[in-house]
Amino acid sequence: MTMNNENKIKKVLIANRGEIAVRIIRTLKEVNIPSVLIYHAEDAGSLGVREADETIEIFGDTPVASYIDAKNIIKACRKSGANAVHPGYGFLSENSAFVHQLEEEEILFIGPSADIIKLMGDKISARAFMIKHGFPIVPSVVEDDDPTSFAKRAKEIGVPLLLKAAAGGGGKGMRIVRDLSELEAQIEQARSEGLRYFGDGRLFCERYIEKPRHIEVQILADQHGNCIHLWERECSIQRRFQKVIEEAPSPALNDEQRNNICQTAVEMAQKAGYTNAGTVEFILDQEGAFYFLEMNTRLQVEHPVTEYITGLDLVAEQIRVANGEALNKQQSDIQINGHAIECRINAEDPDQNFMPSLGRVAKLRMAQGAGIRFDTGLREGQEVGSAFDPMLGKLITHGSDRQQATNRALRALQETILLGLNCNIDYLQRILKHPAFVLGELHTHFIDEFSNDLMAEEIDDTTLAQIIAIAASLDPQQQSGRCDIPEPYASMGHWRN
Amino acid sequence: MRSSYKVADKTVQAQLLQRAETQLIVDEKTSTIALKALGDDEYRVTANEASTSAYAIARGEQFFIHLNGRHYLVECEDEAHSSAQSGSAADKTIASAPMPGTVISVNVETGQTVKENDTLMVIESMKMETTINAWRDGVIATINVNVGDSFDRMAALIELEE
Amino acid sequence: MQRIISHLNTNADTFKANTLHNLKLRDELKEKMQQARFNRPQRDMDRLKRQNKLFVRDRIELLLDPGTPFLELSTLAANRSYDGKGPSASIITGIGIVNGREVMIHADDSSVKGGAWYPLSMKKIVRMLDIAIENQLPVIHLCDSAGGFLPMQSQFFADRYHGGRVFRNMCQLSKMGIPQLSVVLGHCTAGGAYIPALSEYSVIVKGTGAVFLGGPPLVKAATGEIITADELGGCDLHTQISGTADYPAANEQEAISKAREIVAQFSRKEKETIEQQAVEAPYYDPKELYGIIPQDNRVQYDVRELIARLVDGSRFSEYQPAYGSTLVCGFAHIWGYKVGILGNNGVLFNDSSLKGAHFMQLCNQNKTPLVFLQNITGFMVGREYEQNGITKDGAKMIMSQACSVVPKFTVMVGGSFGAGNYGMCGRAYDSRLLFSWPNSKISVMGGEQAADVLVDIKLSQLKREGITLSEEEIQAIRDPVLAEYEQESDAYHSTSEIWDDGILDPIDTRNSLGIAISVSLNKPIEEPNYGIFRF
Repeated sequence: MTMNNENKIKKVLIANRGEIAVRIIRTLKEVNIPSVLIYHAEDAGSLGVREADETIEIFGDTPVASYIDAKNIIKACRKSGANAVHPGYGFLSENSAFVHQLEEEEILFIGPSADIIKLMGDKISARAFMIKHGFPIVPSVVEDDDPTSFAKRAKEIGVPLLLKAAAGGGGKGMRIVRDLSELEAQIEQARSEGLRYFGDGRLFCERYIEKPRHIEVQILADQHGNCIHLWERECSIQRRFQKVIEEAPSPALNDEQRNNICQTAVEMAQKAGYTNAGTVEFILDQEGAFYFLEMNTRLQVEHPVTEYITGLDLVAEQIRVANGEALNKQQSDIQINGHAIECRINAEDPDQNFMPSLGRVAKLRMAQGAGIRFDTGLREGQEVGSAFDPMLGKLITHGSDRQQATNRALRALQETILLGLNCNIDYLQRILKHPAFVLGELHTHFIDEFSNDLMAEEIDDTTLAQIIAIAASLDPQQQSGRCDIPEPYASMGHWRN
Repeated sequence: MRSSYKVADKTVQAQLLQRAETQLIVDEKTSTIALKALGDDEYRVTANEASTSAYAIARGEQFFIHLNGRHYLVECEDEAHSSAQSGSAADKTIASAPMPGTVISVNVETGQTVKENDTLMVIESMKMETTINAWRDGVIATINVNVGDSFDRMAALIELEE
Repeated sequence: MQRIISHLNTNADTFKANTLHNLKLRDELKEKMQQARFNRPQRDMDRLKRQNKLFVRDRIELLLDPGTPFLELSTLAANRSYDGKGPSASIITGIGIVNGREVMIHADDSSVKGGAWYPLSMKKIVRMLDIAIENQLPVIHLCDSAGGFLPMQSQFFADRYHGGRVFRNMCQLSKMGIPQLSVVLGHCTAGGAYIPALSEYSVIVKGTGAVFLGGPPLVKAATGEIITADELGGCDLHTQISGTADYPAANEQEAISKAREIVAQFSRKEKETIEQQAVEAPYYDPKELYGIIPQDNRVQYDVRELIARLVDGSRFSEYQPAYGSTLVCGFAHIWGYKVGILGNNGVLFNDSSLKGAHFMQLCNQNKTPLVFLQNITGFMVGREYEQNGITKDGAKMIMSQACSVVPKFTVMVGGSFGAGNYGMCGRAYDSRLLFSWPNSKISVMGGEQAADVLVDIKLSQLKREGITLSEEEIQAIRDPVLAEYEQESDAYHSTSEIWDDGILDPIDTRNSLGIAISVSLNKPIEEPNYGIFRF
């Protein structure tokens, strides 16, 4: 990072909250750039608000609304003199209109250009782009083109294939066809279902990938045409399409496959003219073939695992690129060092169908030791409400190999103490201990498939006695209604003459 | 007097008798637990000769405990409350909100006849949607919320006629 | 306070012989208590089950706070009466803790003749209430009685301390502001009906509990009305219509749970404060008591050895150690409470009587409860002693003792004969609680002595008629007297007649005294005041 006065970026406003805000603030401090954080009153007690150099309160109909109101952000930039905005992830990070607005205000956006965001943000245009340039994509057939030949073209995709109602969603109107002989019949049924439920009988279908694995590649490109990859991550442990555990590198790939998929991602980025940091997401099938899923034109939640294995600070790299500097590393400089795992810690109760949990974090003790990183925006004593998503923080561990990283994660989770609401810390441990996880046999239906195995273990009698004893001693009812046994009776205990 | 404590699917009766150093818990049999408060929410607890450190905080009738690398939630059961809640589904007339949130949709009207498992309304909290279904056949007596309303935990959302 | 230096040789043969002997006595005691507590005809236990009733001891355990002691009184009452068919006189009484409060518990045992009250049952209940009055203890009555055992009514109805005294005591207790709670778990008939009626609070079990002045048979006999117990005086009638009972309960468990809740409402009164310090267990092992107590009460031993195994840290501050050596007096602590101990080390002489009187005055002055360890054959007799005023000095000791205002506790650790019993606070002198050890004996004089005296009288009488008796004939007069004395002076006779509040295993003495002292402090200690001392 050049520390001279030619830095375009003088002050960065972070248009985000929670753990990512803190994480960005930390890098800004390390590169000596002042930070400004916008915050809604709900977040007034958060760690970010304490750490940022400046803070500006924002308002909106709902807390979330305040963070996605571009006017709020621009006003805050003017007020604080920030001439760059880091959008974090979510919120406005992939909103091309927002980027345009910033351009008009001559505020730098730390991320790719509005056009790229638009191209890749639209799933259809992104897929079309990939198809056009011959990149691998899950074979699919839409009915719009030619309804009569739909069945024939579907056959070409091969089985197993997934029939989807074009107007459907939420898992409805999907059927898996494993035998081509039933294809016609299934198409008929799918059509009538589509008509009945969605008022639209049109279909499309795509190859159904059994036990797919989610592999994504981190890429970094500057504004001078250089583009490198920072290797891949595997994010197959998901629940309801939300990632739960991510790791780098992927245990599914051998060196050849790894190079192949990472190179492909770089080519995709270059073809699109990508700048700054981004992630290309793929599906890997059981034969090792991979298909483009989507591209995320922002920093991702799970970026720390990449930072651990490459030693890079991605936010610092983003700032350098936004500053107009060229990448100071070549592809050959990026080595994989060891293995990293990230666990997302959520305020939810896995034993009650993952019902979200609210409350005050009365006690927070984070694990410590070598190879442990805990990214959170939480402060002890902070109130966690229902305004935002339930992620409380990320525990990332690094080890010389996957086993050490896993053991470290287990140990760190056991050491982590979070009291005041339900969280998934124990549940994460159960996943990490699962034999299939240990063997690296992952796929995106992992959690569903092993849901029985992942249920909480029985509490043994000794532990039960211990925790009830603690509860009773803290129970104000017991304390106030407590009949102190007077002496000498208390000391005599259960004595009979 | 004894209280009822629930953790996971187990319910235990307990009574705090002496100073924190020694407690007696009754659950069919009496056992002695030695408990020492070390300050800063930390406790040293000994049962059956096994001694461990634990951290615990109380929040109303909920007790959050971390012991031996695992988190536990113990809840004190209010007798009046639990006997009201545990009344058979047939007796229950009110659906209460399981957590604070907002109403996404209301799918029935007052006076409408519903069958068990019919969707009555959909609520949303922390980006999660939950459906409130009819717990038995019945007739809608009152709907206490409108689409877009916010509510607290335990708020009475919808009632069936008896 | 200095620790007593023990000179006991635990390897000596006498020690070992004593131990064997006393352990046997202890085992015999435990066995008898076990029988009295639990031995019931199977058909009676079956009947309880049919009636949906819990065994009385289970009721008590449910009532008491878990992990707390229970001092049961007079377990072996009536063990020598009624052909042994009235174990514990069909009543259980004792001091325990309910919701952190000291209470006196009275429970009818309906597994014994339906819980009918014998003469000794009445005496036990009256004694229980006397203890409650003297120590200001709330009382919980677990009622389940068939009423008075009519065939023996002449022994429990009309006199001053018979049945009526129960209700008179209940009224006095209430007048003092001490609450009583009745849990009606069976029938309360006739007089028994007044127990819940005179209690501040009452709980009644639906179906099994009933309160009526006249039961169904009596009502039918008197008026011809035919009615069931439940209709006549059951739960619904008394909780909904007559207001005689306060809380209905569906079953016994609920009734007892309710009772506990009610006790939780009792306010805890401030206790009298006396000197107290941190508790220390005796330095010497209390089990050595078995080796100290001689096989024959006439064998002398040093009572200090006994004291050393009773008191905190075995520490004892002896008063006038060089004077009046046959009465050991001094201060010690039991369960932290400071007490004044008087223990016999032989016959009472002038000096020991005066020492005792003076020491008791000191204890009254500094509010120190008194503990008497009785092992006394009597005061010294003989011309020399009479000249020196042994009778006067004994009188002074009795006056000092009888007028004491501090709580007194007596343990019969050996013999208790004649006026020695009086000076050392026997039953008549209102110790708050009085216990016997299995080896103890009590009578107006020793059996041998009595037999000798009677033989002498007989021989003199016969001599005037010119008759002399042979050795065998003398024996024939002597032996029955001896036998009768043996029978009527041992601890089991005493406890059967409720002359004491129970026989204790010697090693239980410390805990019993600790509870007794704690309970006694519920009543304030007056300023000392005495009658005339004949100097």
